[in-house]
Amino acid sequence: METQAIDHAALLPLYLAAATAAAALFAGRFAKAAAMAGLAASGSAAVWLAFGPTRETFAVGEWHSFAADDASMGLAALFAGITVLVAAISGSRESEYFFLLAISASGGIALASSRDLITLIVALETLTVPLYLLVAKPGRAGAEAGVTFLIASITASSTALMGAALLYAAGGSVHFAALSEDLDGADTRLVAAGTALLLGGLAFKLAAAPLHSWAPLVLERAPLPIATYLASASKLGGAVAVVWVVHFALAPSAGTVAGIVLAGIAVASIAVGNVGALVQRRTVGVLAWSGIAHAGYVLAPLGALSAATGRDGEAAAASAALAYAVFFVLMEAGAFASLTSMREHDGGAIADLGGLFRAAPRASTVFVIAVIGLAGLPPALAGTFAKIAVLEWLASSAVWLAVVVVAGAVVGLAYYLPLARTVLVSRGGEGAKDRYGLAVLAIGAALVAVSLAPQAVLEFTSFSQ
Amino acid sequence: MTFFAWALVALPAAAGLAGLMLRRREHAAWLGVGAPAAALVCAVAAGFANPVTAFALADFGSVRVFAALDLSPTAVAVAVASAAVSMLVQLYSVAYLRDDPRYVPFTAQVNLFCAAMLLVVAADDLVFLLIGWEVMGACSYLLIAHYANLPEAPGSAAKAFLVTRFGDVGFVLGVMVLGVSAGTFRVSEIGEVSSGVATASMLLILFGCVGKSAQFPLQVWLPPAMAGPTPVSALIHAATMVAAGAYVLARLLPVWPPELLIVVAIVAAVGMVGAGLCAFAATDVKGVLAWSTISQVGFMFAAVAVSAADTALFHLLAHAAFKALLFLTAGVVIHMAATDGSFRTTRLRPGSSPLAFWSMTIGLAAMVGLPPLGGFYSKEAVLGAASEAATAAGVVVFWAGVVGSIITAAYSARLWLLLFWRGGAEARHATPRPEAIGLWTLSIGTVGVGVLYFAGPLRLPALHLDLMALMLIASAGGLYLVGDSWWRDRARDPSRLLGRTRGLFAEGVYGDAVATSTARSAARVATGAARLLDEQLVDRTVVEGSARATVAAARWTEAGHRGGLVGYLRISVAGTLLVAVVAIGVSLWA
Amino acid sequence: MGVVLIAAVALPFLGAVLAWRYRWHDIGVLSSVLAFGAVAALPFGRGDLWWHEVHFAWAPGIHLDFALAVDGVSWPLAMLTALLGVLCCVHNARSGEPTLTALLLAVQGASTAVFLSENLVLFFIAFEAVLLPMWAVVYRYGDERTRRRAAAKFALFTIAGSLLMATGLFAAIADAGTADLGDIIAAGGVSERLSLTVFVLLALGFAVKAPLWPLHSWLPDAHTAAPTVGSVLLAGVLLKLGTYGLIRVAGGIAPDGAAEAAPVLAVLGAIGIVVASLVCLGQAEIKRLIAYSSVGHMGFVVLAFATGTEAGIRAALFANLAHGLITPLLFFLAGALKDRTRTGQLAELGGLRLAAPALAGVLGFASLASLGLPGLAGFWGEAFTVYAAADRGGPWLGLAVAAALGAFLTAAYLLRMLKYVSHGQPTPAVVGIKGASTAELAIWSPLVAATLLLGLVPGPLLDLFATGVL
Repeated sequence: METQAIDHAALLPLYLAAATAAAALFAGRFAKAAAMAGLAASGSAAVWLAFGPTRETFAVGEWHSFAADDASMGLAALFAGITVLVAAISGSRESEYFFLLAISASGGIALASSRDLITLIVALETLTVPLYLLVAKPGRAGAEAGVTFLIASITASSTALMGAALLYAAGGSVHFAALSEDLDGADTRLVAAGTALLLGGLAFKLAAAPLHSWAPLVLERAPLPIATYLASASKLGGAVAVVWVVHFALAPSAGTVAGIVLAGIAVASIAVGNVGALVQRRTVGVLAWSGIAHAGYVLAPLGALSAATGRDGEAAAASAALAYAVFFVLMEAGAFASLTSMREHDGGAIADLGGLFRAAPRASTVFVIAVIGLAGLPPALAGTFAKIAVLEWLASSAVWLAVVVVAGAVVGLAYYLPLARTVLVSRGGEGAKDRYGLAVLAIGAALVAVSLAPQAVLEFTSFSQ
Repeated sequence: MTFFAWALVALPAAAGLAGLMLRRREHAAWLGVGAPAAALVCAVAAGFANPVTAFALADFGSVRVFAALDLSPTAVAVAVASAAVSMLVQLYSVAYLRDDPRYVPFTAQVNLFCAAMLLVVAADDLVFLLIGWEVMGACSYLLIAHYANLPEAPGSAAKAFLVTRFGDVGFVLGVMVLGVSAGTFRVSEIGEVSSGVATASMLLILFGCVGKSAQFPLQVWLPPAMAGPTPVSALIHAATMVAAGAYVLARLLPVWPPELLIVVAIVAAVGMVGAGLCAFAATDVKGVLAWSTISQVGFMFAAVAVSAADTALFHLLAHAAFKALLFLTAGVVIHMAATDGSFRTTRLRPGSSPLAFWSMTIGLAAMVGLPPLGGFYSKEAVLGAASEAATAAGVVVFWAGVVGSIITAAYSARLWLLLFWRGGAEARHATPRPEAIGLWTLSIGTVGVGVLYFAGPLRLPALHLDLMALMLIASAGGLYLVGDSWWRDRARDPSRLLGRTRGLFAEGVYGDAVATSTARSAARVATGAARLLDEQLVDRTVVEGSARATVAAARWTEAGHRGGLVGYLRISVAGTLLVAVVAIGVSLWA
Repeated sequence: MGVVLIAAVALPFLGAVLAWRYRWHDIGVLSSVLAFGAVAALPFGRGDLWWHEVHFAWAPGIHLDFALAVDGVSWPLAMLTALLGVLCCVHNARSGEPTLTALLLAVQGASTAVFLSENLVLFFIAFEAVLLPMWAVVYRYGDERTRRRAAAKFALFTIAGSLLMATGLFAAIADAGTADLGDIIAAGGVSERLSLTVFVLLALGFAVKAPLWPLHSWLPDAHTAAPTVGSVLLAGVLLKLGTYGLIRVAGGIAPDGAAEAAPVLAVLGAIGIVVASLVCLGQAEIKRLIAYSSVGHMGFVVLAFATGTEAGIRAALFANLAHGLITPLLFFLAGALKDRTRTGQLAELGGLRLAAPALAGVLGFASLASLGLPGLAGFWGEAFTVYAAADRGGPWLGLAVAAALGAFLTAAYLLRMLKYVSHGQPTPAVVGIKGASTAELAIWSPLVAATLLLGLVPGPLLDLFATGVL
């Protein structure tokens, strides 16, 4: 058997993340610093690679399992960056905590580069498994959250694996590039079932309907930093997985089925998430439910594949979905990180946010920017650009889906505005904290940066054919 | 010379606008009298050259509006009359409103009123004319509502504006339809338009003119308009608003399809006879005069109905003189008697104020049409034109005119007898000089306006001796009827000749009451329906209903997700299966 | 002149930030005055079609350029915005909070950006940017009892409209391959296949903002609840975003769809005129009455636009601008009245003519202007709406009649209002109130003067519209 040449440079970010995990486990008191430094290095390496030529490795024939192109490396950097942020707002914890966090991050970094079903699912599991432990706070509620997440995750993973198996049966390959050609003549029933199950399973990570209802339950009970991670990096993982599978594997030959499945999931998510968020009284509850709706917005562009055809359309759909996911994840990270900074234990009720603008001006400003951005309104332009990216594509492919997104955004404003309003106007705010100033400032700066220069995001998320 | 044409309109308008910002009474008085005087000078000066001038005011692409003035000799004549009456009214008001706290805005509004009328008279563009036409309505509103402590004043003022504006719905539509078809709004350039357009637009414009001139069926606003100060009544009735309708009709006569003039004739006939009867039954001085105006404007419409535009204008001028005289005198009389003008209380001796007595006598005689006063010639001309026109319209207005003349004589005589020959206090009253000047000037004008028949810009039918005789007989008959009744029983009002219908006519055939209550209930029903549609259906039901439905869905969703882990698994499994089944189904179907 | 163009948009935002940061009114007033100066300077050295243009790439990935341009259609509206901005800032500097000044400036800046943006994506962003500050104005400074509901209703309606509009815009961009408004208009709009879809989406969005019946129901609540300056900007500027968008953007990029959808728009416009007037006729509160009157006036604009004729479009633009002068004046007056009497109920008012003659005088003037008295600004647009409808002939004549009847009903409800407010003897609420102060008269007088000027000399403005990119 021939040993193949491995491009170790392409794997550098992954190596660094894995090494960080190991180092954190042994760093003792310095675990947090080690994790942050290591992941920062991993992110920097990804950025460096992104500026270089595209590298691919782990080839079987002409198909590669691992690619370090602009999109992958940009996303890897984003995974690393968000994990650094989460580590920064975690306060002082045991070293295992940072070990698990770094493991999860390396899963995300691997996920971005994966180009076959097996790598993808393994990477996704690597991203998820450490979280089983992290979500569980001491006590009954924490345990319940942990168990729920565990079982939900296992269900989803097995569903996804089932789907992958069916696709393998239909196409005879697990490589995206191979599947994109081989599924063409395959049994349509098998392809349809495989697609539905695979995408349904992957939608779990994104907390998209129908596998959505763990999110409010778990996010509300997990420690706030972990909730931050779940709501941002982990969701980014889900989005990347779905986009990769659809764009690289399914779109050319099973695009219509994938589109129908995703359109259904998107519409259901938008509807359920938005109306669910409308009656929440707790801050994390609102953000968790609205996250379901945002998962719908991420998937909606791909749902339009059911109508549109042609390579340009597929690329545009995937670009729109990914761009939305990136903008959304940044805003979600900003919202949760600033909330973590202001609240000691949990998110609390919405009414508890009152007066924070006076008590904690820095963090609450970031919070308001993030929330307004999630609502999609200027002056938080990041959210506006995200909406534009999705609507521009939908308007030219499936106007009905655009109208669904619009309706969702209208309902969304009804619960985002009270959040922002309470922070800015209402009274209260005694005992508010303004911790982790640098981290909050950093995510705030990131939001401002993508607001001013959205092209940075749009460029690395764009798939050109 | 175009300078005078523009100054004719611009001076009083500017004076009016500036006057709204004045504070001092003396300034207002000077401006008030000065502006119409200047306009009068301008009108006379423009009369030497009859300037025509125009520049584009508004370009709407397919049609342009011109600020166009055309001071034809007839227009100059009407302008002179309007400016002169306005000036005299202003002069009169200096004394009449000497104790009024709102004198300053009053003079400004009168000046605006005068400017608006002059614009209507001089304008050669229908949309440009509309500016004056409606500003006049607005000014009438402001002036009628002048007295703050008269409870009915605001209602009467609003009625005057709204009724005329209701007419203007037709007027504006008519002007626009005409403009669309003719491609221009210039009166002098409107050429041949199709008969359908001419019919529609002229009927619509007639509706507007009927409103402005208070003709049937839109006469209801004029009698209540007496709530304004007496000089305002003189202005509205004599030389401005009411006359404007007849004037515009006369100007647009070339566009009228001849067979349609019968409509004008019917309006005129109803006005001449019906309003005359109401005047005969009216119970106060100003009421008689108000109804008489409607009846006299009916004569102008009658002339229009027989295509005799200049004749209509001739009667307009004669009417301007004697009606202004009558109103101003009525103001003096009511002041002297210190009453509200009701016949029950208002009585004077001729000797108490010879000036008032003779002014009133001359004015009434002119209205009756006694030679050689102006009214005689103008009425004869109307009847002459009617008899010359061999049309159905001519027949209608001729006989209505004869009956109208009888009634005119009757109500004039009644007014004269009731005012001056029922005794009254012996005291002598002095008339303030500004008021006296007005009465003198208008008396002379009333006597002299007949000169226009012989030497003027108007083309009038030749005198008919037979008609003259007929008219004199008719007038004499009217006078005789009233005189006879009066001599039989001086204690009783000659209006008893009307018998049981007297009450009906005294109330203006209940036109006002019926119109008011109809309008009120229509408004109530329409408003209620609109609010039901708008506030209940659109807002409460659809808009807020959808919000309520969303919140209900939200609660329902929330409740459905309370199941914990098991609930979660149920939703997940069911949902995933559903998605898979749909996907397989669709792929098979496709 | 490109710098001036940018300054016209940027100065209000800068002023907003500074006024908010340093809690200082004068800086807000100064920046609004400077912005006014910048807009007023735009006609100098102007080009033929677009007077001036600036163009910077921002985010090519979503077709977003920072592209501003001004022409004969947008300049008058920018001017109106700047004027009302100055007046509102001055008004607020006398009594209100600096934060409110900052919000007003933000609304002004965003609205100016809407009028001046030549890139459709930028247009959408600016359109959205108006929402939050205006919402905050209503929510934070509005009438205590109704502000919450009104603000929420305003926000939800507006965002629904603007996102539908965005969908239409993006469909047009995808079809045309460019987001440059001028280029799309020059190319004759989007392809015929898409035209109706695009127009319907855009029209829905703009109809919410304009507002067109039956999408108007946010308006009476928001206008009534908003503080005086908020109502002024809502009526004078925000509604104009809708009509401007409808005429310029929707009509410009989807002319075929506009022609197809015109009858529907026209009928809704006519219904709006009549229904709003009738509702006003039964209205018991002065601000709500004025608010509802806007629905009627905007009905004229939409009807005139829907005729699609040259005269109709000019009439629509003119009526639009005239409404932007007259209704803000009415709101200023209603605000002054409510501040003094502490009530807006018509039944509790009366005798204003005796108690405060100048206030009553200006109120009378504004009412006459609003009812479309010829010789004042309100006349030309509305009268030529009738002309334009009559010009189309056939069933459109019915709409012309409805419009003319609406003008009559407008007179009816405004006279009813005046009868309650101005006439008669002063009621207890009115007795002893202060007359109009010099500062107030100074704030009102530009609007009065402009109303009179546009009424007497409408020509130059109409000629300006004729040069616009449409």
